[in-house]
Amino acid sequence: MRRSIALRFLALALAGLVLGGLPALAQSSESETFRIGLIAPTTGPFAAFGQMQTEGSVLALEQFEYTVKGHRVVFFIEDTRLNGEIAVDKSRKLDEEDRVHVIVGPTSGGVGLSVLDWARDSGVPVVMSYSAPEDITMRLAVENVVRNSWTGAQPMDPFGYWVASELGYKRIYMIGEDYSYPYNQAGGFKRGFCRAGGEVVTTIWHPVPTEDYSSFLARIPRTGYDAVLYNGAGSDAVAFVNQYIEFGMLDVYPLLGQSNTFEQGDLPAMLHEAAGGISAMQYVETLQTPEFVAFRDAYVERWGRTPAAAAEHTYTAIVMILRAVETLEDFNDRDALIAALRATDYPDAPRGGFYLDEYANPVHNIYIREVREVDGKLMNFGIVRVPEVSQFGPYDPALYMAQPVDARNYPPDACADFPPEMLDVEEVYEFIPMADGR
Amino acid sequence: MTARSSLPRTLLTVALVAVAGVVLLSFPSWLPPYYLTTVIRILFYSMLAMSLSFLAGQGGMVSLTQTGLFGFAAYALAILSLHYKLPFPYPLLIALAGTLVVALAFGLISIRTYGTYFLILTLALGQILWAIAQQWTSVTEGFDGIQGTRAPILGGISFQEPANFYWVLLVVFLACFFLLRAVVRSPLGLALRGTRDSHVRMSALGFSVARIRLTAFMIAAVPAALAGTFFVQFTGIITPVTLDLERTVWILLIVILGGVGNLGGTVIGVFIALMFEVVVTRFTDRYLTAMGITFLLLVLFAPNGITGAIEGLKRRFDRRRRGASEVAPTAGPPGRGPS
Amino acid sequence: MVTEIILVLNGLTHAGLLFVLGSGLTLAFGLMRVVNLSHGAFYLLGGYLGLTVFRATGNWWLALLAGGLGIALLGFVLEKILLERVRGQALPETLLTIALSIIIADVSLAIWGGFAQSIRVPAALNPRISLLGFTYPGFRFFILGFAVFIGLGLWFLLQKTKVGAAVRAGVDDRETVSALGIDIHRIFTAVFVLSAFLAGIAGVIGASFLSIQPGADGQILILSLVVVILGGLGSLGGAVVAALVTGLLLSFSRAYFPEMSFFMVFGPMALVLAFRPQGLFGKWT
Repeated sequence: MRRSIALRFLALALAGLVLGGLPALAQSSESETFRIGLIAPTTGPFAAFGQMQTEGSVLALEQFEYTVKGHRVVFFIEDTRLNGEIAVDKSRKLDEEDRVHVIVGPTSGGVGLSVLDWARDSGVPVVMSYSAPEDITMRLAVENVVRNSWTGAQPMDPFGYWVASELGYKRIYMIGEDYSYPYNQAGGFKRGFCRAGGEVVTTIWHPVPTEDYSSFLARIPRTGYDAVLYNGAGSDAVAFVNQYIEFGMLDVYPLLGQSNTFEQGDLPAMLHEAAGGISAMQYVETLQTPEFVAFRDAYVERWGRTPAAAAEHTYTAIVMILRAVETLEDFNDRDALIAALRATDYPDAPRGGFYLDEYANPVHNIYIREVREVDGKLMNFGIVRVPEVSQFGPYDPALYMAQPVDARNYPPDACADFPPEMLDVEEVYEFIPMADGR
Repeated sequence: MTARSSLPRTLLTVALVAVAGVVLLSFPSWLPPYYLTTVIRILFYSMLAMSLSFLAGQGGMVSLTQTGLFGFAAYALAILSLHYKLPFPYPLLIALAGTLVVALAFGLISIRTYGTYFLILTLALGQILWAIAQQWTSVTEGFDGIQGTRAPILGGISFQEPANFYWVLLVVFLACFFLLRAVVRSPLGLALRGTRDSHVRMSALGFSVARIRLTAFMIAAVPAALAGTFFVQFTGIITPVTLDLERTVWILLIVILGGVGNLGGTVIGVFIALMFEVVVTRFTDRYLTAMGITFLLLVLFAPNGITGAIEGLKRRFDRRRRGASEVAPTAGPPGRGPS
Repeated sequence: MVTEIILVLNGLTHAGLLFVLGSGLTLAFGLMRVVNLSHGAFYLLGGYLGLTVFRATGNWWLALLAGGLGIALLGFVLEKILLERVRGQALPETLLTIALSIIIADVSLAIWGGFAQSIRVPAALNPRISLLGFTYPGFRFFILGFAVFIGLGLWFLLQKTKVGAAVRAGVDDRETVSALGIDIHRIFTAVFVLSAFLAGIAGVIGASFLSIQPGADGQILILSLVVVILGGLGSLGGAVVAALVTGLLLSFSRAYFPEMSFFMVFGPMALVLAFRPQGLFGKWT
């Protein structure tokens, strides 16, 4: 019936009018408040990360009493459910409706790349507080996007170097999750490893998610390697590590991990034999530096649990933003805010001081950690500290970025296949043994 | 229109259509940007929902593969334009053609099944597409998805401008709507409803039930595929999440909300579903539980108006199950009916 | 050669799990013409219940029982207060099970959180078995044995008991069974509860040799559907064959074609359906 179609269109049009009227009812965007938006997975299977990021942010905001330069700070939290489409939609909303000054988050690589894509077009300042794809601050870098966290390769380059030079391993068998973040972790590891005299990193990728690793474990050659490195995290890591132990593989090869394999939240689910597992990251939950202890104690008092990396990174993101705003005349001046963010120097960050390089990624400590059992609980303990590690490692940025992007088949497994300019580099790493968490 | 419609009534209808048309076309000029964004999302999700609503309502085919086809078209467009760098209009045309080929393959497998079995079969087939998206990393980039797809710039007009994008989408949406409506009113539509009510009888009458259902399946694939291409060009990203189980169920919920078979109702369904999410997530983290409960209540109590069609669908399911026993004795022992 | 043996063993273990899951699902469909799409959520919740009981008591068998009985009870309650209302209407019933699966999965997330967890099977049940130079977790043999035991139990139930005869008759011809004075509704309920029990048990087993986390329900549901569709709805023998095929395919494809492992699992299903829509041993479409 023509009439019913017309009625339907009218309904649609009316709905549009109603929607249009909603902003009048919504909170007015006072230009007198400073508005920050957090995008994180607050619901769904990754809600633990969203929770950590919320807790870190709120702790920082409370320490600043939700005030900066005499103005109120308004904080918005939007759920991404770890989905790029939803994250972009929420970012749009934060920008177009809530008119935030800056966006903080997100968690995963894919979502980070999606938000980067949108931020490029919209110009909104974004502080990437956990998402690790290196191109966000390298080949795809955009002026208004900065990062206070890390890239996938950043901790793994010194780690690979140390594994080859200190542990003397020459041949590694690596099994990893088949997507970009593990590729980047593998790439960094291979580069450092090969420079220090390693021979080969045989790389096998498995689909995400995988619950049963028996097939992969069955294919590991029983001789010819020095260690196995599991390049994955979350439920995949828990399953792999436990099955690795159950299949008796610990008697064959020691186990190394990627940065998140022995994540604080996953350790409780791992078998006790996981102790001894070694990994590297810009964070270790048992640091004893005064800055970290102060942060940790405040966090424990506020939230009742110890902070994980994601919590600390969001905390420092908020502090970094508010400190940047304090240097500004007018925080509505977007260009000035971006410039201030890019110039960040934060020597008293809980996890260790950092400053942003010219591509707006932090230069900071990398901690090589070992899993130990204390009072029946598994925890990471720092054994070596590597200061001043940049996302480019020891490489010249132009040289690094001229290389192909880390992918399934790049860099090559055999160190002999590396381009010589990637191996013949002046080493800049200092490996400082840690004692008592410093 | 019946002979009873009078001039004043016709004039009123024309006036309503004209007003509605003007309002719709004018959205970009006064609607706040985020609301225009929401309208755009409503339009392409509604196209996807329409494809399911049509199949389920007219054909009794609750195809949980439509979301998979939507995702397939989006992935194809992204891969062809970004990885193979094909210029407009090749990625679009190949993506649409490719989706129709997939629909043909899936259709051939599933059109010989009915009712609940058809539902779970199409669910499994749709999830094959999810599995490929998630695991075939060298082509689809797996878990990360593909970023950077954009609408084209043609002859100086940038379709990345929300207003231009919206107008094209609106035209395509209306075209799909009228296409499906035309099919509903055509002899094919009549035959399709016949197969929904009793495919055994239709077969006995000499109709090729398989061909009718396959044709409907292919026709429904078109709005789903088009919606997918608009989705990826607007959002810029396609990830496996877009075709997963949760999304598939979400579209099903929308179709039920709007009324199974009610094409225009899908718009209302999408609108309610999007608003539901915005409102619920403001109060609780248990958005999914709320969605599940709503789904439950909807199915159990079928509020009047929107879901009257569910009653009809239920009756048709039952009638078809008992249909075999009402047919001539040569059809087999009573009760052994397919469902 | 040794690798292949391990892969076969892995495949059989998975097949065992899939059979326990698929058998209940296929029987319920065969009898009631409704596919319980909350089967995956039952598995998930069963695993979590078992986890909690195991943490409280340290007894794995108790955990197993808790998972099975807990879900059986849930199934019974849901059947009585929800599903019976729409009995006979296939689509609404299926939709209800979808709605339930969403609710159960989200509530589980709220209670047990998002991190992966697993049940640490006691060493007595999980000895490290030395096999041709490999170490193999003994628990996986146990699962295999358990699945065979369940299979035999079900076969016995169906073929040798009066209740089983009623179920088989109901699968073949519901109306006549009713006409013969057997309360078909009680049989429906019994089969549904049995299928829920099996799903709960499968959940505890899965949580023991793999892990349990949000999302496990969706994964396992799709795999169960593949087993049930491939084997043929209503056919227990079909479930055995399909579980074996699926389990072995999963194991081998993960080893040699990880990028295509899921696709290869779906492959035979799609192929068989192209020629036999009712699956390998199904009686009708």
